[in-house]
Amino acid sequence: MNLFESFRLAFNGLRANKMRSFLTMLGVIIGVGAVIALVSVGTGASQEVTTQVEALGSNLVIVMPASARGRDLRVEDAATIEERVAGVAHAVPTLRESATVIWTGRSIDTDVVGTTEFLPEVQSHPVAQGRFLSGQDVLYRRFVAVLGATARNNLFGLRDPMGQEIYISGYPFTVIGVMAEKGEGGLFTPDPDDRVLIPVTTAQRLLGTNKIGSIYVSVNQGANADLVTNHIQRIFEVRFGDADAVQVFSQQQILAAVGSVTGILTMLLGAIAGISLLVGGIGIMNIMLVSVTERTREIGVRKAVGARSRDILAQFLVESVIISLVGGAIGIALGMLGSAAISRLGNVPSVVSLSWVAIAFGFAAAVGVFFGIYPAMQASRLDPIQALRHD
Amino acid sequence: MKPLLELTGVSKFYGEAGLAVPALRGVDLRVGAGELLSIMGPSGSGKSTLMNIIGCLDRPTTGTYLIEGRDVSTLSGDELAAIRNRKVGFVFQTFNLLNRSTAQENVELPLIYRGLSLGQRRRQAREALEVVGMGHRLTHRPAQLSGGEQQRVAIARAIAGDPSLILADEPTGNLDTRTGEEIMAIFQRVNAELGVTVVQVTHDPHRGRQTRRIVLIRDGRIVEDGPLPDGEFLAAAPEPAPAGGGAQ
Ligand SMILES: Nc1ncnc2c1ncn2[C@@H]1O[C@H](COP(=O)(O)OP(=O)(O)OP(=O)(O)O)[C@@H](O)[C@H]1O
Ligand SMILES: [Mg+2]
Repeated sequence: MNLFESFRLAFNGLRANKMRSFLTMLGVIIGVGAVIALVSVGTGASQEVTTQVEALGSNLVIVMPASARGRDLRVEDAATIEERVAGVAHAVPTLRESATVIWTGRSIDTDVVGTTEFLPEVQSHPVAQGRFLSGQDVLYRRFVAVLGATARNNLFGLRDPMGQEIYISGYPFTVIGVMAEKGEGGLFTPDPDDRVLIPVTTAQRLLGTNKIGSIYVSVNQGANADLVTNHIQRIFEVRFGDADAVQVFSQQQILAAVGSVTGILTMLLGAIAGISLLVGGIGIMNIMLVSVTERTREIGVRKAVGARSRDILAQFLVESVIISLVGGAIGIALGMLGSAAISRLGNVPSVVSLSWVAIAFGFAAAVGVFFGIYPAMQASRLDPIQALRHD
Repeated sequence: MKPLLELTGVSKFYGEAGLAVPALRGVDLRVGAGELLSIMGPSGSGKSTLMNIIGCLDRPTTGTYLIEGRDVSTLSGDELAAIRNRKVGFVFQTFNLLNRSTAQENVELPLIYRGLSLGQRRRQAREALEVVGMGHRLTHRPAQLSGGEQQRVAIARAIAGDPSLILADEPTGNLDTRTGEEIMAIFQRVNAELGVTVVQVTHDPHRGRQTRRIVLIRDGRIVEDGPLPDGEFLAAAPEPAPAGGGAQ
């Protein structure tokens, strides 16, 4: 008997008990669907984080106070880094604070970031209209502001913001420019488009402080970011007498850390979904064992008329493989739909990776064979005389 | 000429070696091609055990068994399956049709395991069903057929593969007298016209006299074996075409 006949017999067997076959298949459908959906969302999230971190600017090193034992940074620290560390192009201090910004009765809540004239360069974020802050603006603590694209839209709509007077925490600022739209996220890092940029010195006066939040350092083309990172680390170690007072990391380090976290997350989601696929496999085995018992007499008849053990084995094994393959295919389709739905409803990105589709499908097939082989062996080993007597 | 079946000193023991119960003890039996014979004997005497061995569903514990001169007592399970498939047709007391399959599909069953194409299987199955007068019931399922009709389908299944031997263990045991008569007529006709050897087991002396030889078995031994005396053979009542209004 050939494989085609085995498939025909198996299909007839499954058709005879449609509801049961479908419910058994459902276990596989849910398992495979869950693998695809969860892993797609996990993969999408990790790609999203990667793009966002990359969007911070290439060759970037970030300096910020450690969360515990943290010591305050100052504007002079940025100057020190720029002067003393070889390979550094610019070191830009930033001071971030959320604030209400008002223009002629309209108000928005956004981030106000104090910085210097080199931010567009360090963060690879150019100006679209007007000009950026200048060294003079910073030196003289001018009340001028550059709007991020989102902040500009929210506050001004279709109107032209250039030269308009806006109020930040009650102080009047003149709008001198608008940033280009960067368009990258805001889900895992602060949205670079939803902010208002003002001179760092002005920001310090507004907040009544002389510290800053963090320092963005751009490394020259060809310079080694790790060496720069180490050098900056040492400067602060000497200054504070504490190696852990300040955190310094390069973009590569952030990417690696984020990548390993999201990678683990994706594996974890995949494993949870894989367990449900395993449970689906146990369902297959359970139903196939019941089916073999119910069809003992049929097996006896088939053997009496000349079916060999391997013909019976093939018939039942193909049944369980069909359940798992058809279930796997439907599961993939539903998993893709599901991941699209999750990403739309939850506003998170999702990426269906072909390799995971292949893994899930292969795993489903393996589940079908693994959990189908035992019942099929039981069937093939039945003694025809006993089987014919069975009722 | 070689006999079709040749059993020499065949014994069958059931159970563990120590507590073995003998179901057959030293059976010698020769059956020629084209014979029509009955095996009779009290309940538990070993008739079904003997039929299982003859049909290659079981192996003798000791002794040799040749089919067409070939020793089958040492064959593997797959080789026995191949012999059952090509040489033997079984008819059971309880019909043993597959309930989910149509009459035609049931008759096709042995041909599937012979690797015949679908078209050829269909054709042979239809022809076999026509031989037993069931050509008009191809797509009926067993539940839609009367007992007699089911047994006809089972006989069609047994002859579809053109076997040398049909084994029928109490084929009329579950049927009323008139229907049993029709079934016996089919066996007689298949034996006479197709030349197939038919071996049946029966408790009924009347059914015994509808075959040409009777083997009497008691406590696992053959105690009598001989041709029916001339003039005692009974032709079964001529089979009417199954009533159009059989179980629907
Ligand atoms: N699988 C088995 N295991 C143990 N003993 C068995 C088995 N099959 C049959 N026997 C025994 O072998 C003996 C012969 O059984 P068998 O079925 O051949 O009798 P039979 O002549 O067909 O009887 P009946 O007319 O009632 O069908 C009986 O004593 C029975 O109990
Ligand atoms: Mg019996």
